[in-house]
Amino acid sequence: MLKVENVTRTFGTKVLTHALKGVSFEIKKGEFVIIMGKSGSGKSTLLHQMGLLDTPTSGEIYIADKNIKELSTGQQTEFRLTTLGYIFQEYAILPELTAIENVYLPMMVNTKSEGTPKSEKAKEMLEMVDLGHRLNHYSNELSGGEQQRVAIARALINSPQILFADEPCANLDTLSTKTVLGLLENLNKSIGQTIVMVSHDPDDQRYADHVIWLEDGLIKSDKYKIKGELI
Amino acid sequence: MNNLRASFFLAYKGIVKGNMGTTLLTVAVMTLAFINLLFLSSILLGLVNTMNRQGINNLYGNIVIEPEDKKSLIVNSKRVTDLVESVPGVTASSRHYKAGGFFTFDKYKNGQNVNTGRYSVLSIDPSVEKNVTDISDAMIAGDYLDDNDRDKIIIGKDISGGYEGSFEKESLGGVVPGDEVVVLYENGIERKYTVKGIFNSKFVQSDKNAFITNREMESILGVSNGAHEIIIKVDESQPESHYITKFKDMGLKESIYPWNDYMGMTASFTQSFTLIRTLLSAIALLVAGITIYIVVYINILNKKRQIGILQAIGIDKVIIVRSYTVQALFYAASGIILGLSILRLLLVPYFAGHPLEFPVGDVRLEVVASEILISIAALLFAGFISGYMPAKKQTDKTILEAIWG
Repeated sequence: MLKVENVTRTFGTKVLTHALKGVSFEIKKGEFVIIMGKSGSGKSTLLHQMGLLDTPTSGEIYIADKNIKELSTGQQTEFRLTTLGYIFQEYAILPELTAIENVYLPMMVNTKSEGTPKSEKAKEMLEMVDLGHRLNHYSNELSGGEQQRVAIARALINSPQILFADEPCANLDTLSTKTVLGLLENLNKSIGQTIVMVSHDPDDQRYADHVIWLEDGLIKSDKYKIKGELI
Repeated sequence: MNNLRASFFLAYKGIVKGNMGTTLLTVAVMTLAFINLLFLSSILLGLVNTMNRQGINNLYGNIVIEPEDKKSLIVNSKRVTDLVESVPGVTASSRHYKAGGFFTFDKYKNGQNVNTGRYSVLSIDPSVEKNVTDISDAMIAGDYLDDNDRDKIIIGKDISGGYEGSFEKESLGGVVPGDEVVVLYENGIERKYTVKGIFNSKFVQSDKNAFITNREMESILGVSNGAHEIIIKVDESQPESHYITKFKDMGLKESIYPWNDYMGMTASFTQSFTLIRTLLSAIALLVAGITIYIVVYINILNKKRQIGILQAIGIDKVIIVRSYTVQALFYAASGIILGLSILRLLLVPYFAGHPLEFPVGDVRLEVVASEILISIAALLFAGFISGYMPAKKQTDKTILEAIWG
């Protein structure tokens, strides 16, 4: 499903910062992967490379058997729209759109979803994240947790092969965190959604079946959960 | 098609759910920019047209016939007026004699306070002249001439004085109807006239003239059925050149000129004003363009994170750029509609009722369709560039740059 081969990412021109120093791993379909590490370990940078929000300095990333380096800008946009879903750390829904409009916008431009009733599907997605009663609310009328659930619904509307989540609960209270993570876990378990989530909270490991620890731009450990234990 | 719909959807939501204050301010800026594009230019056009119209209505008509080369008089002027009036489209003609006169006005008839001045005296057939010039409608004191008047004269306000004209100091110092003035003509003949009326055509070149009847002038010059000039009024649906060609084709040997050949200094003003109008329009367009660009650019800067998010979730750059371009075009179109409404429904009627009083006449706003179209196209173009450029620049950044700054 996703293969990362010796990826590096260096920032700056005069003073170089090596955020990723050669990272390799593989993610299989249906996995709930958590990338853990301390602040500055390179976990968000790694997620940005996989989510096609940034370009690696070197190395290869394969998603669904496609080397993303070989995709044109237009193909990358199409790939982000149809194959990937992305949830940001901060609530990243558009304030000028209602919850349902935020959700169906990516579907509106997706030629592959033509023929599907968009508002019906968007409504279904919002109901799935338990926001069926908030369809026509704007972001300033939603709590942080609700906004993040709208972002999840939006990320899922085009049935992505992989859902990336960049510390989606960093700005949420405990209850909302539990709700959002429970929702992601449920998605993974019920429909086999492949999820790659960045987190710095070791407690979040309990949701994952694959945990990658990053330290100083390198993989410190890459473990799978087998019978409840990370091996 | 989906992309187009998405662009318009985002633009619509951006306008409807965007900050109302910003939207109103942007539309207000566009409105003022549009009015600015047309207002001063329209005033100047009004000024130019007023000057031209004054020349036609008070001095030259549309066409002037002068004596043949090396002759000082049009002989058998009746023949000429009959001929030109037979041409379809010619509405009237009037023959004039012209003479220089040295005016003397002894206000208190005691030789103590005598004012003098040299002015042009034109002679007219008063009833015919009414069909060609507006002098008869411009009387501000006393009466217009009658065809049989012999010892009567009407004078412009710049001769009489007392009406705060442009040449008050050079005037006769306050002549009123009923006063007597003595005119010494260039041929040495002196006549005493009772001032029958004073006119104010609001055109300085006309208000320094005096009029007597043709019968009176013929007795002074010792001629009959002649003229120094014949001025002709025509239906302006055809250009003057059309009539001039006709007259020549009919065998007129006299010299024939269109009115604008006589405008002299006024024509130079007109050319200067046209140049000024072009420059002002260019500057106004530049200011409008820069203003719109700044307003839209700030709006887009405030939304750069949203642009990054849109790109991150797979919305194509083209959709995003187009949505901001549509928004900018909406602001420009709103400004155009509002600006045009203010111009046509408020400013034009206001200035029609309350014209600006210039020495050359009453000036109204002259908003012409071609300039409106040019201004609309210019503002829409400025709107397009102002929406497209900053949005394109923003979407050309990397997604992370857009989101995190």
